[in-house]
Order: sequence, then C-alpha cells, then structure tokens
Amino acid sequence: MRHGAAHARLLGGLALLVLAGFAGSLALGPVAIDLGDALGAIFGNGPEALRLILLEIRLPRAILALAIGAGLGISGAALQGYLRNPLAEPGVVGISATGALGAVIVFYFGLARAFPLALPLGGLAGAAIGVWLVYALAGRGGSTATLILAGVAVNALAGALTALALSLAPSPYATLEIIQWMLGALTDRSMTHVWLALPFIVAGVLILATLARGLDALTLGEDAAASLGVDLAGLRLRLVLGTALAVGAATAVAGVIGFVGLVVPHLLRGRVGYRPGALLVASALGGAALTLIADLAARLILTDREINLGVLTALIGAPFFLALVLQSRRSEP
Amino acid sequence: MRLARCGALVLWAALIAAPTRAETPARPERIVSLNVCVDQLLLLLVEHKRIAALTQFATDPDWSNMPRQAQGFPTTHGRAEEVLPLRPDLVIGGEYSAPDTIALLRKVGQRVEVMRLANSIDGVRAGMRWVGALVGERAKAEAMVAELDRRLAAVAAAIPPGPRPLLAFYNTSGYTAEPGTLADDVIRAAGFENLAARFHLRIGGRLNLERVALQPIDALIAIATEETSPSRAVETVQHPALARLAAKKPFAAIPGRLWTCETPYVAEAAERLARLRAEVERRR
Repeated sequence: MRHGAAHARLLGGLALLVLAGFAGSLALGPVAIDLGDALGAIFGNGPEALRLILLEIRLPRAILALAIGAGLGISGAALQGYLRNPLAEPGVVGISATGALGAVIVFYFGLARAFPLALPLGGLAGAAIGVWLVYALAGRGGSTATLILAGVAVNALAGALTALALSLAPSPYATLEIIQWMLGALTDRSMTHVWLALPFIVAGVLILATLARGLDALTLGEDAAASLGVDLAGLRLRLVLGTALAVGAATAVAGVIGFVGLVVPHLLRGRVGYRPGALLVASALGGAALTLIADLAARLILTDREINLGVLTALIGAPFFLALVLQSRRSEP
Repeated sequence: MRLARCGALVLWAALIAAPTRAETPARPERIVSLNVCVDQLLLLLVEHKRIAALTQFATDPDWSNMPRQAQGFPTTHGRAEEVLPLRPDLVIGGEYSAPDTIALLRKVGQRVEVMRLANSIDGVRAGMRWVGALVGERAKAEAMVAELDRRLAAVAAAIPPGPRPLLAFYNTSGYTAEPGTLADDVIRAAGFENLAARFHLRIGGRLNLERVALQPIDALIAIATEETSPSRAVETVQHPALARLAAKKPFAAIPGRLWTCETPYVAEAAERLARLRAEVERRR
C-alpha cells in the first residue's frame, strides 16, 4: 500500500510539472504578455492581437508539445518493456525516421493538400513499417547490439529515402527542409496541425496504456505470461499499433524528436519500482513535461531565432545514451 | 636571319593576340545562362537563336516570370559537363551559381561572366545595363531601363504626402524584405514603410509572427501559396493567425519571382504594391 501512495505522489508531481510546462509555454515567448492582459485576452474582450498570439500561436504549440512528448515517452517505455531492452526508443531504433519518411512522401507530393488526413496517416504507415522492421530485425529479448544495429540500419535507410524524396519533390524549398524532418521543430505549428495529430496521438497513448498488465506479466517470461492469460499476439499488435499511432502522428507534424522516449523511462524506472506496467503512464507524463520544457528552451535561448526542438532533445539525450551504452558494456563483459 | 627573327616575332605576337580576340568576340552568338534572372534578361534582350541554353528554372512558374517564352530552349542544371558540349562563347552565371562549376569552366578556358544580384532598384538598372553590354545590346537595355523608370515614376507620382502606411511582408518561413534588399527598396518606392526596417532586421532575419501581430500594420503582403508546391516553408504563410491578420487588412499576394530579379517585372511588383497602398488610403 505504501507503494501505491508513492506511485500516486510521483504521478501527481509529474502532472504538476506538465501543468507548469504548459502554463509556461502559454506565458512565455518573444512578446512579453503579463498575466492580467493574458487572462483578459482569453476570457474577456482583450485586444485581438493578444488573443491571436495566445490562442492561435502559443496554444497549438503547447498542446502539440504536451501530446507529442506523452506519445514519445509512453512509446519508449512500452518498447523497452516489450523488447526487454533499455535502449529501445522510437528515435534510436528508427521508428520516428520511418514515420517522417511516410509523412514527407504524402506532404511534398501534394497528397496532404488534397486530403489533409493523409499527413498523419502517412506518418502512421511509415512508423508501423518501422516498428515491424525493428521487431523483425532485433526480436524480443535480442541483444542490445542487435537492436542498436537494427536501429542504425533503419535510421540510415529512412534518412536516405527522406532526403531522396525531398530532392525529388517539386517544391523549391524541399531540399532546405531535410533538416526540419531529421531534427524536428514546433515552430509556427497551428491548430490545423493539432486537429490532424491529436486524435491519433491520444488513441496511441490510450492503446499503449492498456499494455501495463501484459508487460508486467512478461517480466516473468513468455510462458508464465501466457499461463497468466496474456494474449501475446494481441499484445504485440497493440504495441505496434499504439506506437505507430503516437509516433507516426507526432512525427508527421513535428519531424523527428529523438531521445525523449529514452531519457524519460530511464529517469523514472527506479521511481516506479522497476515495474514496466507502472512506467507507462509515468513516462507519458514525464515525456510531456520534458518536451514542453525543451520547446520552451528552444524558443527562449536565442532571442532572434529558434533552435529546433529536435536539436535540444538530442543535446540532452545523446550524452545520456552514451552513458547507457557504457553502462551496458560494463554489465555484459 | 633577321627576317626569320622578325617572322618569329610576328608569329609569337599573333599567337598571344589570337586567344584574346577569341575570348572577347564583339557579339556572343552562343550564350548559356546559369541563373534564372539572366534567363529572363536574355529572353528580353537577345535574338532567341543566340541563346544556347537556359536554366532548368526558366520554364518553372515558381521562379520565372516568362515560363512560356522559355519553352523549347535547351536547359541545363548548371553543371559544367552540360555546359561545355553546347560550345558557348559566353556563359553568364549569377552571384549564387555554384562557385566550383564556374571555377572549373574558367579553368578549361570557357568565358564566364558573373552577374552581381541586385539589392536595390539601382542594382536592377545596373544589372540590365551590364547584361546588355555583355551581349552587345546596349540600346535595348537602355530602353528597358527607361521603361522601368517611366513606370516607377508613375508609381512615385501617385504617393500622397504625409505619413506612410506600415506594410508587413511575411514570406515563406517568416523571411521578409530586410533593409538592404531589392524588395525593401520596392516597398519604399511604392510609398510604404517596411515593418522589417522598423525591427532593424539584418539580412537573413525573419519576422516573428507574434511580433507582427502586435504591430499597428496597415497592410500585409505574402506569397501566393496556392500557386506553390507544398512545403513547410509555404505552410508558415498558411498559418491561421496570419490569415486572421490578413482578413482585416488590405492584403496582396505578390510572387517572389516579380521582385527578386533585375527584370522589368520589378515595375509590376511596385504597381501592385501601389494598388495595395491605394486600398489602405481608401479605407482610412
């Protein structure tokens, strides 16, 4: 029971952090707005320009950072739990990259203009192929080295195909935008993007949250889990579908935002008593908080321009990743 | 002996003189363009049989004002091995043409001239005259400059006295017309104050949508996104916040191709802006 109370406190604390990040995301930006004016603009008849800034520019960005962070966090936790591999993460194993490839193809060749839902669906299809590829190449309980090599291969292939697609795209800007897809950003995303991505990400997060019991049972081994009544094929299907929905839709509107799904589950694993099931919701909250805060930093570090969000998460995540590699080298002599 | 020496001297003189004569023919007859601005000037200034090749962008309506007139010409992607077999006697590139390609062409003896891109209306006049002189069509170039000046003078004459309306130019990815660019000069020539100048943006600086929303702008221009292939850069111009701003202000979509090159289309950009300014005055 003490465990339950500690878990509730952890989730409460993370939720507060998300709330603070969300509020900060609305309150801070290139234009300084004080709280009274902001509340007036949102709820009363404040000046139109402030309404525009808060509701059309900052709000969609805050919603997307929250949703995308939650999706990436829970996907990382689910992949790590299922593959029993601490380095599994949508960015590292290439699922984000294949999602970006799918989105790039439908976006630049005009499909998404004719049929807007094609954008998240393209990302979803790409991400689903990515999850399947990683599973086929590395498998469950495969060695860390196999997983990382599979990730290197999938990332390289998806990155090359994305660059190729952008080189062939009819837009004069396309080749300049390769970096926007490889290292994602939330700059100037609007409510249109929120409506396109949010339903898919929410569905993905909800599906992944149902994996909790199965992942906990799997820690006892596949046979034990099956004897406890866990439908392994169904579990795998929900993992692939949930990850594809969350990561695919996130990547389709923001590009690749790496390492969130790696860093967050690692920071929280000890706090949830090393139970992969309990880690899922905690990682969703942690991912949302981290992404909101990183996006705020992306906006505020430099005054006259923005840093890509993907650059910041990689700067935080890559050293973390290196530390984990060193750790796993010590534990597998 | 003396005669032989004399003959050798003459031969030597002829040898060093010959290449200089070959390098600068009075009138180049096989001209290759490596720049979409040069493409348009060539189409306007020289007989079409003297054009050996245009760029791949010459027929692209995103980039060129004259895509139809450019049909039927050989095109290159600006690579040395495409240019050389055309045996041009003059290659004209732009400031941003690949420097390695230009160096390579020059190394193998090809005559290459590089046009400085205009960053003011004066630069447009200079560019027209420069190409006119290179291709031996000075008179046509002067006539082109005179026509540009006539149209710009008509625009200037219609500017009413008093404070100038404030114009925000929101281009793809938030790029704008920073002070020191051709677009800034055209905006001022059409009687507007340019928002980018108020922010003291330097070359390459971008307008921040939040800051634009707070400024007392009188008019807004952007590019015509429906004519342009989809990209993230174009998507920034389709941001709903910008659409809301544009819905309340006089708004015009002015394609970049009109006023990035030293062509007579600069006058059309100024005239479209003048109509936008007249709309601002009408609403006041």
